[in-house]
Amino acid sequence: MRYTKIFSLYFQSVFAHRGRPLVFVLMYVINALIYLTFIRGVFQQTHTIQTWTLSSVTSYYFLLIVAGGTLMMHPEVPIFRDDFEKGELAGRLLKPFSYYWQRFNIELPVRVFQGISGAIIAYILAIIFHADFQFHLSLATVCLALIIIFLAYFICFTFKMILALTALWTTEIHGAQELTDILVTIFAGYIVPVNLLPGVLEKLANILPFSYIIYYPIIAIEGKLAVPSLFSVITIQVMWLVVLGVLFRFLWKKGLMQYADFGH
Amino acid sequence: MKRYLRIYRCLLQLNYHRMFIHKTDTLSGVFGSILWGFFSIIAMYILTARSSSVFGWSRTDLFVLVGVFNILIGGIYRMFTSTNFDRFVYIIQRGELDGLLLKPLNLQFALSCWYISYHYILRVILAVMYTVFVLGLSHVPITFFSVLSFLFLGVFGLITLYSFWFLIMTSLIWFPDLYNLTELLYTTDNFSRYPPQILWAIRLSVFIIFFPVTLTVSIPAKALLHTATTTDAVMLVAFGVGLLYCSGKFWQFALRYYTSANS
Repeated sequence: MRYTKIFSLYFQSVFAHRGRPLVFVLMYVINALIYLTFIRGVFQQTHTIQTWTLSSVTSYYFLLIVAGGTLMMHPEVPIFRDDFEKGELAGRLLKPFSYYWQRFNIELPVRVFQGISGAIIAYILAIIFHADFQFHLSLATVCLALIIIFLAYFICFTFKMILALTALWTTEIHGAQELTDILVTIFAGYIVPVNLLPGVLEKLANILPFSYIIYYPIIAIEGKLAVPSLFSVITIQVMWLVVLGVLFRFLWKKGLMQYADFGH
Repeated sequence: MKRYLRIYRCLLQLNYHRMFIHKTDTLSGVFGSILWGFFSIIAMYILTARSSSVFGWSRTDLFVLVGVFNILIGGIYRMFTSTNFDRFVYIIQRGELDGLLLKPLNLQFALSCWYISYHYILRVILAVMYTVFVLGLSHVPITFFSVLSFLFLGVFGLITLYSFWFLIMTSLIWFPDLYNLTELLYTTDNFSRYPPQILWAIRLSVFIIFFPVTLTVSIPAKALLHTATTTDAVMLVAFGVGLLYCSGKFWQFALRYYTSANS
């Protein structure tokens, strides 16, 4: 019950300042439309690129808006600004929740709001573009796809928490944040679906965790993956989550020794 | 005018010293700006990996477009203007505009020209080298006239983009809570990295407002590729002058609604 209360309180706050998350969703919309339109230009010369048709690639980019809004979070920004720079971490350490779950509670309502807004916008765009969302799903694939989405959320959140923690040593995460944003944009499937990446970039994308945050959840929910493939994606996601979880715990313990209230 | 030039010279010096005070920030800025420069090239490489031409632009033309984007917007525009718009948000949100209103300075100047981020110089240099290299690869001659028209159109491209940003940012007077509006504008800059035809292909009439943004890089790039027409040049100059005038007028209008701190 108290978790529901916490969620609803944060959600109220998000809804009160709804302009901000909507601006972020608009950013996903603009980027998705730019890349989609460019790819549509490529499709003027061919009917299919690998397994993708114009229709399937269009629905991919619209689902990307929803996935971006829901799964791609940025907790590192307020953590760095408020908790580390302004020294609000001390207050958070006294609360009867672990820091990880406190930040999780703050982030979740934003994601829910952005996800809903993204879904509405994607639906409207699908009508305008005559996009045909095709979900080839069975009960088993739906369940597995939902597990993939759930794991993707935690991978992204834990990864961004680790990124934020590095500020305890470096006192500046601007460079690391920019690098991460670039890697995410290339390897998560924002520019083109991962299997359309040229050569070595596709192989790298399948090794790095970013495609398991955006690309695989999208094609899983579209029903483009068979059950064995879904299981192998889940296995890799669990591996990444374990690695990131262990790393987070290690950095958190070491980082707290570095931290000195007030600020750095 | 002379007075403003003197003030700007002073600002140039102050910002030069600021760069050395915040060394980590400067280094991380250099790192970030170069990374984004490389990203724009990689993104174009990925998008054109399976096609030799898109919307009538050949692959090499598109790589020249990316180079010009990195010179004009990723380099010069970010160096002289973008940081000031980040400051713009804080000034309005925290009600600091009152202080600026009392200064004997043109408010638009005080808001737009205060900070200069010198660390973008490296990106400009690298982008110039890259563009010359790509033009050489595609056997496009670099003539005195093409460089001169590129510079002339580039200036108007920058004025157009600045005015567009200023027009949008002025809405903060009514919506001071939208601190992430600059992030949206950084995203809309992406329109200029691709052929302008993209905008028409999107088929959403609301996106027409981004039309001037698509011209800011494409027309100077066309000048380098020797494909710019007089109509292109006139259109860009008209947009530059027109939007600059409109942004000033809209700002004056918006100021009537500014209700001081915590508006």
